[in-house]
Amino acid sequence: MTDQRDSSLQTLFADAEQDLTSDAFTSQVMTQADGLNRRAIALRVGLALALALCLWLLAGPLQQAVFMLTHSLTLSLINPESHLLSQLLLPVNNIAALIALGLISGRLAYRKIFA
Amino acid sequence: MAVVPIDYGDTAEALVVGLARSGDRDAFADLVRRRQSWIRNLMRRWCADPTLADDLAQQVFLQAWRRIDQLDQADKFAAWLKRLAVNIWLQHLRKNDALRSAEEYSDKTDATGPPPQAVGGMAVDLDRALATLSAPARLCLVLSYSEGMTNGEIATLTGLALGTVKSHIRRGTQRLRELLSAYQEPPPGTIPPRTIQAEAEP
Repeated sequence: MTDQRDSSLQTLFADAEQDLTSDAFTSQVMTQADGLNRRAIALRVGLALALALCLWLLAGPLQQAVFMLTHSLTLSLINPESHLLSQLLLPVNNIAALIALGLISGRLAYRKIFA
Repeated sequence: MAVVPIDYGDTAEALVVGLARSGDRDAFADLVRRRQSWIRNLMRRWCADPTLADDLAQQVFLQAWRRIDQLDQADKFAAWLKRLAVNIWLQHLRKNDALRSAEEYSDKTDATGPPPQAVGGMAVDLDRALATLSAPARLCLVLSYSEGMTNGEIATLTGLALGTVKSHIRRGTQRLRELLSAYQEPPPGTIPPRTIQAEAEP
């Protein structure tokens, strides 16, 4: 697409261009760029330190929570008197299996209803 | 011991851009040296205030430094820098709510703005004449006349409608012609427009 331009104005714009190159401007920009870099590094170091501190403070409670969760998931739902029966039911006789079964059946039901 | 910056001299710009993308500070400083005059001139045309223009030009280069790793093609650096400059200028206008207010009074200003005096250099006069236009009109005119961009390219770059760009350029050109008539050579055998203006005044 070609646009009509006033040739005398075009010449005027071209003539008005000045050479504004200056070392002062370059050094000002680079000083600010260095400041940006320093701030970015300080931010990363700060975040890493904060993360390390959080992990250090929360390591004990987190470990305890994970232990309690794994322990509760393996709790038996029923206690068969026969040792053989309890061994046979072991893979499904716990809270984790119940949750897994619940999720699978929920998914199947969802597909049946909405598919 | 002071670190001496590397002088890239006549190295191809695309190569210097590639080095700057990999975090080479000296390469970026070289790009600033190469492109500052162009960006500062553009900003001066847009805002008519050398101090503000230099501040905004600095912001352009700082944003370029922050985002240079996002530049896909090193040979498109100039176009990318121009887009950053336009965005910085538009952000500045939005921050000052200048776009809206300029649209509101552009017609009035276009009709009654004081003509610049042919003193203080052509660049100053051109900036003064441009300052009488609305900010979007100035943006479109400078991109058209300084950068040689087509109306379609300007519309894409600025996000303005093509019709709006055309109208800004048409009215802006008309206005600049009137204001800068002193710089335009009259056709042979005619009275210069400035003289006509002077005679018309009581």
